[in-house]
Amino acid sequence: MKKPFAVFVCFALSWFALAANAQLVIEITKSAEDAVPIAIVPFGWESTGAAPFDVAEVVAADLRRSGRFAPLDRKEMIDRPTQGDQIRFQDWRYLKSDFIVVGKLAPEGQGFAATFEIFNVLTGQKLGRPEDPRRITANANNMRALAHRISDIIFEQLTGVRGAFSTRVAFVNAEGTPPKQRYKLVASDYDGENQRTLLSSDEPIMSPAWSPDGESIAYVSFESKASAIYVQTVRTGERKRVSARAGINGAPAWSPDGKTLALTLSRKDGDVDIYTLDLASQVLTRMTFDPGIDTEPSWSSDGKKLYFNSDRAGGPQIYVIDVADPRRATRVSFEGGYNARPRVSPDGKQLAVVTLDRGNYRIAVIDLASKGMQVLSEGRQDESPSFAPNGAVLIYATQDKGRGVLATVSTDGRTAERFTNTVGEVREPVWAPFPRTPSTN
Amino acid sequence: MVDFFKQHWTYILGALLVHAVFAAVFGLTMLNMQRNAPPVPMAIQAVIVDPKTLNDAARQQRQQRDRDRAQQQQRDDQARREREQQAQREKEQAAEQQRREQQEVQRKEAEQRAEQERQIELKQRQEAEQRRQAEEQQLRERQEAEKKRAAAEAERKKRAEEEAKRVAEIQRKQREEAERRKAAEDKRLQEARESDLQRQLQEEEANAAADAAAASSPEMAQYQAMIRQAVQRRWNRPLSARDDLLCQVTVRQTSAGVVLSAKVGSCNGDAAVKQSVENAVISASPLPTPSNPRLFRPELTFNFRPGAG
Repeated sequence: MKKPFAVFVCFALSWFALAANAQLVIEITKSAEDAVPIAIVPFGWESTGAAPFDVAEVVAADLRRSGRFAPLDRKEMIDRPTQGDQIRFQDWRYLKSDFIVVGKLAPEGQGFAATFEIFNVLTGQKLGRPEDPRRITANANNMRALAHRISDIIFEQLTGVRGAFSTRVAFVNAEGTPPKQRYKLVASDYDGENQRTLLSSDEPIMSPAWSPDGESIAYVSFESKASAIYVQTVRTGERKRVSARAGINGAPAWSPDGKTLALTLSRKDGDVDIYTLDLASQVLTRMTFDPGIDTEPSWSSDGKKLYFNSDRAGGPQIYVIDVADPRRATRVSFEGGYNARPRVSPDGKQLAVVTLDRGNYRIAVIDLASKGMQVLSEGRQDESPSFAPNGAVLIYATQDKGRGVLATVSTDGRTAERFTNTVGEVREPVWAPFPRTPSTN
Repeated sequence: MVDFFKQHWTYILGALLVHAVFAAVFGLTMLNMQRNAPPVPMAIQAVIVDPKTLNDAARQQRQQRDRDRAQQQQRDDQARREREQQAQREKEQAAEQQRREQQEVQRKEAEQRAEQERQIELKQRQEAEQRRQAEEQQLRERQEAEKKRAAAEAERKKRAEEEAKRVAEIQRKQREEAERRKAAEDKRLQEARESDLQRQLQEEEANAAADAAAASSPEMAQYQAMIRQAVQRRWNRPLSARDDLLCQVTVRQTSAGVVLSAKVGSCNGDAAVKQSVENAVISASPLPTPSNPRLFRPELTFNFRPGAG
């Protein structure tokens, strides 16, 4: 008699308690469009004189370009700590920095050693591995690489994704004015620094493509007056002509396993189609059969599909075929009258394209699941997008004061930056894959 | 004189005894001779003798003497024979006596032996009987002891049981008493609680009704939206965040909305994601406060679920 009553009362009470004091549940389904505020404090110099290199400046620039970070302007810094125990977190909270990076640079042997630490300003916690401060060494002539590696570590710590600041890009550089033009195939840091010429020619060079292992570059050269496709080993400069058929030999693209090149060939009747070329056996397999122009192939990340550009429906649009059964092509792009130069993102979920956006050629990404398109760049003549190997950023060529320059845009469109540190006309940049073994300097 | 007798009475007595003995022996001998003596009166009568008669008488005397002698002889012989016979008889009697005595001795010995044997046997029987009795006694004693022991044991057990029972009984009583007290106390508490609960229930009902009214009010929706926007403005979703990300963050706040703690609970994201959601909440501090204080919750749970948006 009494017990059931008590039980009832308990239940009733707990229900009321729940109703009265239940945690309020709030669903967070959107994120800020803002970049993460971070303070990259100028590194301390552990020797006499002025510091030979501003590590923090390069790191801050790297992080800003990624679109994910908003480094605090150095002028706003009221303090310059160089190690963790010097940080007064309250100051940095006041400056609205979520994270802070402090470090030092010191001479070591012929080069330098940098040590740095990352802190969460909001909680005061040090991030990263217990053995930190991390220590990075570099030769005197490789200070930018040191800074890029620090950027990579910070980026990975805070985004969960490997940084690609240390990877290289390749592009075609044209100097001079027609008809007296000089063409170069150049490899550089992603920010255009540390340029190195891989090939120089009086005839046009086009469509460079990194092999999946980053060791070789395939490209089209007109050095013999007609187009031919070469594969050149980056380190040695050694090269091999892999296709020099009559008509067009263009747009080489490496399969993910590096054994096959997809390329564009033309027949005498002017039909331009995509083929695959087995590099070992030199066997050609036709992939497209439409009488129109089919070109600019790009492999899906699993190597089973080829995305390409075709004008079979009028203007150029993106299609996809199954490599094993290439007869049926499926259209992928639907927005706008012009979508070309497809490039598959590293995770295979997106396609970067050049799209005609209200009279401007711009870089856009197509979500392969939804087919929705997002225009990222804001130039007028943007061309040749290429994903960074971590998928965070795209590099492309854009016009700056009538001159082709390198530019990057984060894949969320937040941040775009032009690099004007190149001379001449920059075309067709392509981002190299992650090196198989991380460099040790 | 008297002194002399007094001094030597032993010798005098001895001499008197010797005289007496001799007198006795003489007397006896005389008696014996009177019985055997020839009748003397006859011999005196014959005294008228002529010398022929005297010669005759002398011859006759000699003859008489001879006859007397012969008779004496005869008598002596007779006596001797009688004595001898007597002796023989006595001897035979003695032998007989002896034999009889011997027989008697033998008989007695036999009897004695028999008696002895009987005695021994008796003794043995007695001993056996004694042993038997002793054994019986022992047995009886053992039985008795056993019985006693058993009895003692039983008694001890019984006492122990009784003691245990008694203790159990005491304990039971104590327990019962405690239970009774506890029941009473419980009942009292129960009643108190129930009345409390009822009062509380009524209060809570009133509060809950107010809270429920508040919770479902537009004010509540507004409060939630304000917090949501504040946190979303501060959340920088890392690149590594998956589309099916779901991270729960539990937050304690002061009444002014100042975040006291933000704990990342279940989360399928990596370290960067966990850090980002934690930072989003912390950097949104102070969180918006509700227009109606009744809506305020010291604890908030955030579900970071970008895939749902």
